[in-house]
Amino acid sequence: MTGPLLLAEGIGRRFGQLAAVEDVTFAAEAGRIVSLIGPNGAGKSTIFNLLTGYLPLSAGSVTFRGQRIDGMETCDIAELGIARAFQIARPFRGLSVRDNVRVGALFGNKAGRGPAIIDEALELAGLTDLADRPAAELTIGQLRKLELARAFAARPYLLLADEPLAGLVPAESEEILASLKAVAARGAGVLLVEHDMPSVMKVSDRVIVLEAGRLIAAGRPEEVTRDPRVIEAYLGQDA
Amino acid sequence: MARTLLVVVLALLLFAALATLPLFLKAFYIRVGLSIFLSAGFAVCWWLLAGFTAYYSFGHTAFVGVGAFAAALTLRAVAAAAPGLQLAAGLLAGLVTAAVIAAAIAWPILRLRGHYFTIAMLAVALVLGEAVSAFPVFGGSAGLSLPNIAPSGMRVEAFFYWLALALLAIVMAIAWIISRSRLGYGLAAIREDEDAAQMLGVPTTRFKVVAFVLSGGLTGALGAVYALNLGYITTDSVFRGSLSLEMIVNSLVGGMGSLLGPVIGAAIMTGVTKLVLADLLEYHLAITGLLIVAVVLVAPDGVAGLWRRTRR
Repeated sequence: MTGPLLLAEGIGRRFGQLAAVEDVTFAAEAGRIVSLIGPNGAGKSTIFNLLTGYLPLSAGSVTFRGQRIDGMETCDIAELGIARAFQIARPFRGLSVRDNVRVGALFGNKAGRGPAIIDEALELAGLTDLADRPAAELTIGQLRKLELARAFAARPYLLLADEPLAGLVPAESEEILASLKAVAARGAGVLLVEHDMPSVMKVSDRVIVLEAGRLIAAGRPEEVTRDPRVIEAYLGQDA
Repeated sequence: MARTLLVVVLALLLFAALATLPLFLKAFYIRVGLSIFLSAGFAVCWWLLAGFTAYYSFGHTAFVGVGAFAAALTLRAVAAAAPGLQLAAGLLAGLVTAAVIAAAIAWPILRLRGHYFTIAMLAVALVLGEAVSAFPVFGGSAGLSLPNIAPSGMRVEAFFYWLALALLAIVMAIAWIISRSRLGYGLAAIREDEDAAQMLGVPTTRFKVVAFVLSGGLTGALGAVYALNLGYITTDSVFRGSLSLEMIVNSLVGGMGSLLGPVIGAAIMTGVTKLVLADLLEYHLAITGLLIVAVVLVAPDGVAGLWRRTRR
């Protein structure tokens, strides 16, 4: 495979007259964490929906590991190795923690399926002790870990993590960040949507800034924080 | 692995023990057993869709009727064949015809969710019942009769007892295998949160169609046995709404959370109806209704669920 792990070129999505995402181009690399930041409504989660095929593109194209994936079914994209952890935890409440993770393993990357992945993902997310507990009994912090464990179990080449730190205390956030870094260290790419700026700046190799569906800046964290457009649009004049 | 083996061995022993009962029981009790197995088989078939995916069909009687009439017409066509071949042809006709009908309506009807799907299935059953009544080939209001295919020298009730038991074992085995498969976990994910399942890569439409066609087809095969046991069918007898209701009630009473639930529910409801309330015809429905209300209040997740909770 040559080129980036994932390349989104000029992607757009319209809902009637509203352009939720417009002409956005970016790439994700294997082994690196790329963060998508921007105010609420900037189009970050919509981009995740576009990349995973849950929503069709109105414009542009997405290439993953050298293969065009726009227009493909969500299940086929998941089998190619893109996994996702949701912004609001969506556990399968009637299933145990282990079976939740098993679903991730069974429907994720076709190349990496196997029973050993489930224990590995539980361990990586720090949920081994809770494996047989019903998902309905987990705390918010544990549900966040379950989201990631389910995504880890899919053995993704690219992990899309949508606000994994929301609602967590600092110690829990640190655990989640360590897990994301571990995933990247194993060679997977990570696309992170997150509002916690110190965490984003700490873990990201590259930051992409969106505003009202358009890309306004992209670069290394320290470059982005110095960008006047970002300071004005997102971080505020005092940043 | 050892636990799986234990479950399989225990199930085989239980079915073997049940298979010996007609050698000792009177005809009446054999018929009660037959009714339980047929009801349990229908309930498991309904549960194959509802229990796995939470798509609650109020019209599964459609597949009973389709299977029954397909078997009746097929048996007419192969009237000269040996009884064993007739039976195989009838079962196959019921299975395939119901599966084809299910496949034909699956895509549009499974786009509906919740109450909309439930009511749409009710409409499917009503429309199919009316359509069958309208065509002379199905015997109109006079219905169709089916030949006795029980081997000569064998008690008819014992033959159908064994047939229903075998089919129940088959549908339970299919449901159990599915529950441990990729398909089963995908269906469970659909039941819990269909949108999340889709976003995680579960091919939701494909899996729902598979469950629906399997559920419909197996109901059709059991419908064929039901018709053969009756010996004479009309649209009123095999497209009746109460058949759908029984599948639902049996599953709810027994518990939707496990494969054993529909079987336990069928055993309780059929047993109560045929044995306890047999002499109380006037109060039969009222007492059955009270029983269902009591189960819902005391054990909302059914008898199997109550047992699981008390074990914790």
